[in-house]
Amino acid sequence: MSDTVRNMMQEKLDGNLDNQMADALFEMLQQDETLAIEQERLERLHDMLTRAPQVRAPSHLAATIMARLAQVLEDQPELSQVPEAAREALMLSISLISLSFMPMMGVAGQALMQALEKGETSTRDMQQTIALMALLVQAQITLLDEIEIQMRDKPEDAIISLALLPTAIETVVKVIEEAHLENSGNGKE
Amino acid sequence: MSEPDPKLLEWILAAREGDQDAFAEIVYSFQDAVYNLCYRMLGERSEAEDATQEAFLRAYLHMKRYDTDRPFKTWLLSIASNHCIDRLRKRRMTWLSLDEPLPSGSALALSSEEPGPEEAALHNERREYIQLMLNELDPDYRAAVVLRYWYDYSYVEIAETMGTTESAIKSRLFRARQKLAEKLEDGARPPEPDPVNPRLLSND
Repeated sequence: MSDTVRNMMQEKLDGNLDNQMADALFEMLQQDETLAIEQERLERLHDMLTRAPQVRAPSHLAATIMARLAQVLEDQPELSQVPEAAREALMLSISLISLSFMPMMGVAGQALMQALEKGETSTRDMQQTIALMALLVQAQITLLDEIEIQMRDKPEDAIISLALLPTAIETVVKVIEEAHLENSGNGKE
Repeated sequence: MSEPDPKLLEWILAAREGDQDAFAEIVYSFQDAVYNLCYRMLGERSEAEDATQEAFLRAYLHMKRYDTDRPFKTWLLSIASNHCIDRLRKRRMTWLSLDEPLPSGSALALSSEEPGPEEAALHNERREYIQLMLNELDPDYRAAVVLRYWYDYSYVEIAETMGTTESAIKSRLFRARQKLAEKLEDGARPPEPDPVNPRLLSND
């Protein structure tokens, strides 16, 4: 089944098919029995799902949510109540993570310059570089978000995570740097 | 873009500042929508309750990240659907194999939880039947179907909720519909069989 036919069948189900396309699909269905059977099955399913009932939340649910929220907030220490050492570790680690990203940015910039110098491979290199930078920035954001949550829930564990983070990030950057240099070497040969 | 409900916006801004009463209003307003999504995704009431609680807690803790230019319901449902998808992936091995046939109509009738008037029984039976079919879909497919049919979301809205593209949703939804239609044919007939759809025979 082609993508066009598939789209037409789906648009018909959703009521988005204009008259001209509806005529075209009708013609196709008349000429192709297999397609007609498939459309008939899809229509039957569609009718059944369209009439499917909504399920209502149990009456106690809202109260349970609010009680659970109150409990979470009670158990959750404010950032100001986090031990001094943990707060210092947080600040230090954020600085170290930012510093760790500097060599990566340097490598990325170098790769970008090389990509621009090369004629036929420039697009691929640029795409790789941009994708890599986006990936690492996203990873940094995700890790910091997770640590923020951990700081609230288990400040003691957060200290360990924070201490390990810069090393982990630096290792990733080094691996990428080595891989890039290796690729550059292979490219020259 | 539609204007956000001023009352809702007020609750959101207050909840951001830690006002639990304002957040309670949000919970009351959206609990049915979130619970229905979790139930349709997870197929089990107690787990759906737990997932709903978790989704609201996450929403509260991350309320500052909510962009007030976007529909709040879409943001909230995206938290719930992502959470349900994670749960389903963790327990994937316990689900029925796709190759196993659906239980028969009589078995479904016996599994109805709320015996009562005939109409209510039939209603429950159909709900359970649909749920059994949904349970056999992959989590991403299931979410697309639930958002399309129970929330009347467009492809764009589903894509936004699930963090993917419109074309990916179109493709996912069509595959899901095909799989469900096959199950409908191969498995038990629904409790109230539909006649051949007359819309197919008419040219409109």
